[in-house]
Amino acid sequence: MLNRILIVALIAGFVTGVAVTAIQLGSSIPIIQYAESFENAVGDEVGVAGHKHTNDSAALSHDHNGAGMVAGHEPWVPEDGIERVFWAGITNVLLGFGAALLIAAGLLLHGLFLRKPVNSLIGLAWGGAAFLTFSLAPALGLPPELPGSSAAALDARQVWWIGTAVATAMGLAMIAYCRWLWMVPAIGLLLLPHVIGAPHPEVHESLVPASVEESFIVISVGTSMIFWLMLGSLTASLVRRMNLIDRERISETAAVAAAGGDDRE
Amino acid sequence: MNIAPIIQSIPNTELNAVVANLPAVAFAAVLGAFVFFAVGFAGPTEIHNAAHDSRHVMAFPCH
Repeated sequence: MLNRILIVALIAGFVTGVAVTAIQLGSSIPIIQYAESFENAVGDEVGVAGHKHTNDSAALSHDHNGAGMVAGHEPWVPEDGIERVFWAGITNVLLGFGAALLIAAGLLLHGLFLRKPVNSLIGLAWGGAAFLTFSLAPALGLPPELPGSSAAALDARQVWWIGTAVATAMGLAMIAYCRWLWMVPAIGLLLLPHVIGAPHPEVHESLVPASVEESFIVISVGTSMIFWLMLGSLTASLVRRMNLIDRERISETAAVAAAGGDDRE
Repeated sequence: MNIAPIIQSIPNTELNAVVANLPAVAFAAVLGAFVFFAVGFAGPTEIHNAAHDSRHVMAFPCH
């Protein structure tokens, strides 16, 4: 069983990761590099790495074009061009693999334990829910940012991000799989992170023009939506194709359950 | 939801098959979460730099 789950996740993660890398190559990577040119210009003037927010250790080592050389030990950074795209690709394939494992586990719970059908439509729904959980809900509080803009402390943002993802996942699962009585706490869970509010800097500063920032937000949310929907439907159709859920067995037991009086159906 | 009638309605052999798959499903979920969050959140500068562009696009909190 585990082997087949891993194969499903490898294929879905690889295909989605490569596709998303191709999209990034034509959209977000050029914008990030454009933003870095502002950042590095500031870095050259001031003589330090361009980041104004230095609440975390990574900030000083962030820039990509060597403005941080002043610091002496320049950490490894992928070169612009093929190397940079290659590492973006590796990252996307790994993200896809991990995310496909999570979605596959969810689909198997759905199929094996609730004995409901798994098809690419269900996969699309799970992908959409994962998009809401891991991309849209966190982005509502912490919009995707370009290099060179100010932000609150990294720790606080990471804690809020993870809390939001957990609350959103629980809320959506309750809406999808629980009785209507659970709607009230479910909606409460969905709203809670936004009532608490994401950590923000006192003053929002950015080196990049606001219109560029806005288009980056749109591109970023759009790209992650494609990532999750593609991954969800692909994972589900592979789960089906690899026969991870024995369909004959499922329909047999579903018939038994119906005879036994399953009031949910 | 009330799963008791569903559980009772499953033949013993079937229930065993479902339970037998539980560790594999749980392992897949844990491994998936580990890989996903390691790529999105890992601190070391080299990992951050390699994953940089995708972290920005996927809206992970980044530097």
